[in-house]
Amino acid sequence: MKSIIKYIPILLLIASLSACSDDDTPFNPTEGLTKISETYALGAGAKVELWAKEDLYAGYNNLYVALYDSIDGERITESHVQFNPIMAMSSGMKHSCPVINPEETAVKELFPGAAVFIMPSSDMGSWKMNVRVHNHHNDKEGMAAFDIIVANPSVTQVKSFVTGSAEKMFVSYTFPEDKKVGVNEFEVIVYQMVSGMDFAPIQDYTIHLEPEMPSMGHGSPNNVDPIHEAAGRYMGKVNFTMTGGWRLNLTLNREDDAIQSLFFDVTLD
Amino acid sequence: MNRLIFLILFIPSWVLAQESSGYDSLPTYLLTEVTIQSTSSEDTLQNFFRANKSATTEDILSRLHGVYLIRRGSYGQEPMLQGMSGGQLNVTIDGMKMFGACTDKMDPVTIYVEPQNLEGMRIMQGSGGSEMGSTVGGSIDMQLAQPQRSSQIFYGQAGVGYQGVSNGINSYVNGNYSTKNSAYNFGFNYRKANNYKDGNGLEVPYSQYEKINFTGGAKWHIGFDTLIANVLIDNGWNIGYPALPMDVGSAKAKIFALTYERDRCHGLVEKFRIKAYYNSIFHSMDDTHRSDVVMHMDMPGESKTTGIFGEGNLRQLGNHAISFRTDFYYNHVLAEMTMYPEGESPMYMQTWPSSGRAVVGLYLADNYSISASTKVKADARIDLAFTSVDDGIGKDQLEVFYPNTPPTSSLLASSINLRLQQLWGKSMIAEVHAGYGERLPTLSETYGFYLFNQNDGYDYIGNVNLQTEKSWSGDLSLTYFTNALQVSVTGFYKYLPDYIFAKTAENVLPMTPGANGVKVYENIPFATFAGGDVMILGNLSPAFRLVNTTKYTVAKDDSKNPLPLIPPLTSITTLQYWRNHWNIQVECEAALPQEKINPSFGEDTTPGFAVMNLRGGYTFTKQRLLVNGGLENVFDTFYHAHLDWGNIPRPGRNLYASLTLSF
Repeated sequence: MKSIIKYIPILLLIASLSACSDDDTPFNPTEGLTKISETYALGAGAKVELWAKEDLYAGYNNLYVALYDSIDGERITESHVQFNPIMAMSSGMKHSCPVINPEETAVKELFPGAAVFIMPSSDMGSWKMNVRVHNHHNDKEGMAAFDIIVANPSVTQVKSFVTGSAEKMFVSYTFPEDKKVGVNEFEVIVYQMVSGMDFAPIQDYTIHLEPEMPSMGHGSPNNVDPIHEAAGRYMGKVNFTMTGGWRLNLTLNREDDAIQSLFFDVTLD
Repeated sequence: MNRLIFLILFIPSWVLAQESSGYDSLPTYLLTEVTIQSTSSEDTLQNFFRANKSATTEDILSRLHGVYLIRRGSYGQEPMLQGMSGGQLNVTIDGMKMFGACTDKMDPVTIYVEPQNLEGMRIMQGSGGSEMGSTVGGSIDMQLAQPQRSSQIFYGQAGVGYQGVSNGINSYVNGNYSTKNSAYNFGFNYRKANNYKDGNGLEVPYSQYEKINFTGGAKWHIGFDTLIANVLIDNGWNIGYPALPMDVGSAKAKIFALTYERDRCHGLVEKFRIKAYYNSIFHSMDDTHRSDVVMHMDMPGESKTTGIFGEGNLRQLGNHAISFRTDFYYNHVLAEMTMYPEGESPMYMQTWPSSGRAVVGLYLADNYSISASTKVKADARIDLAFTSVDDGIGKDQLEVFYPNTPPTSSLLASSINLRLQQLWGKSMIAEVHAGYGERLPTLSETYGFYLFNQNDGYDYIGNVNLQTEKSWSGDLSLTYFTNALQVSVTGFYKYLPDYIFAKTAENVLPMTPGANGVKVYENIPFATFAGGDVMILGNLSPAFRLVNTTKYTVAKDDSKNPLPLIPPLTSITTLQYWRNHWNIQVECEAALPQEKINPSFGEDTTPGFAVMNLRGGYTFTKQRLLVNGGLENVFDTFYHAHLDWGNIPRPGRNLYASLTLSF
């Protein structure tokens, strides 16, 4: 017993030291993110960093913009940030893709938004991401232009179809949190390509979600069909009962139109 | 233990009723409390175990009063009392809690104990079995053979046995060494059986098994203090389960126990013992020997239990003999399943989410002698159980079914029993028992995740909202005995509110390919059990004895539908002859057809059967050698019993022999 008592002060010391070191860890807003590129927004006097969860790929990508004043290097947390991605095809055609622009105020010092790249970079064409920012410090606006590479993922993450009235729709998905076994928030994004440069959110679909494990032929219970929330984003829940390969079957239903069925394959490690 | 008296001498005559300690000279006939002795008594030459030294613990259980076995293979059979099994029973080893690690109930803990390890088995039916834990069905306590201080410094036994029907062997050796203040014992057992042949002479595939078992014990005496250490290690492998889609690759159990005993204390407590223990089971299923496997899967499971209990009795207070027990245990389980589809990512899930349960309980009993012919036993128990799931995949999985319920529970289970014994004249005893009991839902019933049941083809899902299962029960037994004849009749009725039963969940699709659907456990309004047994023992002459036991159970749910896995009327009749060095017995096991079935559980009607066995033994006294042999299923009958899953036929004619040498 005595020997234990002898060690108590040491244990307390260790505990207090480790507690201190926890508190002293500085907040790093880009922890766990990958820096895609950085450049200056000419005319706005700002440095723009483009971050994402991983290297960019065709499909739904969360994007994060970090802004700094290029003179004093201070972080800017109030700004209008607008994404304008452009795909320049070797044929000479150009088009954009659906984007979700950040709010005016930074969240945890970053401006989060998203882009649904509807095709990968290839010999056929290359992507450029233009980010328009507004520097409140000097009240100037400018544009940062990034050459980006959009990879072709091993499974398709964005799909398209044409409706009966010849509207071209793009459907993609994302998991707001890392996907795991259990209950997952699940988001479906539907945009119409109005013109090459103009994508409009579509909000009047009724979506039914049916997950399935193709190698076993079973699904999972108690899934929640995605319901439109805002800006073409439909929020639902998908349940995974085990790891492995899952197929998310979606049916999209809209008045006066044929039912569209499509699926996305995901793998849970 | 030497105050044993013969009472219920049926099928081999080794079933003894124990005179409870603390009673006066009048024998008390606790019909529902049966003890078997594997060694001590002189008369045990006639016992089944001595007549068949290769018997497994299951073989012995199957012949005990009121015990049935659910059979899924030739090994790993699950005990049942009065139609109740699994979590409805307490199965303990020397009072220690131990829980199987197989999600498919392939390893009831009785398989980890060899008869050579045992000093006795104590079976208590119904809620009266609550000494070892809250229960509705009863308890089976397997008492380990402890080292004995003896005038003989070293003694032991060695034996070999052979089973013709499965080309199986069994060999064992055990010994006991003693000094003035200490004693040590050990036992080693090896079994191997190949596939057996059924009554049509056809081999039953996947009915093989192989295992080794080691036990060791040490006992030190210091005055009135005794310290006992026990170790048991049991490793089984390649255990086939013909009624299931998979076999068992390996099943490994370890038990460690330390016991402190004190006799003749001062003060209120007369004697007590405290036991601390730990046991673990690692179990893995194996589909690599099956030809029709669609997708290979690994299914390991583990169950670990740590516990401590103290029990003893108070000094006699007038006519009251009060005993107590307080216990604590913590059981933790995890069962995993990984499937390997070709060319794709492995699929992993926890079929028993990593979860645990801590239970603390208190038991009190009072044996009160109102008069020389009237006795009352009152007992009560209360258990408090805390159950929770560890963070991780298992917890996340459960959220799929129970999004708004935290998978944590605190349950209280209590029981109270009153037993009255009345002796009428010189040859009639009546015993009445009335009791209330509760049992905790098992971790499998609470958290199980897509557990495939081969019998009904459903995937089973646990229910985190389960409440305790309750039982109101009444038993009445009458025994008439003279030197030549003993007849005993027992009847029981149980009403079980909140009976735990799995019901089909509409709109939930199964996980297992080809399964019929999903069932989820729930507390149904109630179930009823009724039944009884009759025992007749006739001493025809000093050398001949006829014993018959017949038992019957009927069980229904709240809609009066028969519950599944209820045996029909069964009966065993034995004619025993023993003289000098010889013992011979003829046994007839018979069952009526079972037509009260539950088709939604995948049951079909089972025809009746009758099977005859012959057993014999001869003792070479000088050489201290015992030779046994016999012929089971003499007429090579092709049959199965109602509790045999998948209608897998029982073994056909089996010629067996064994040699036992004492030294």
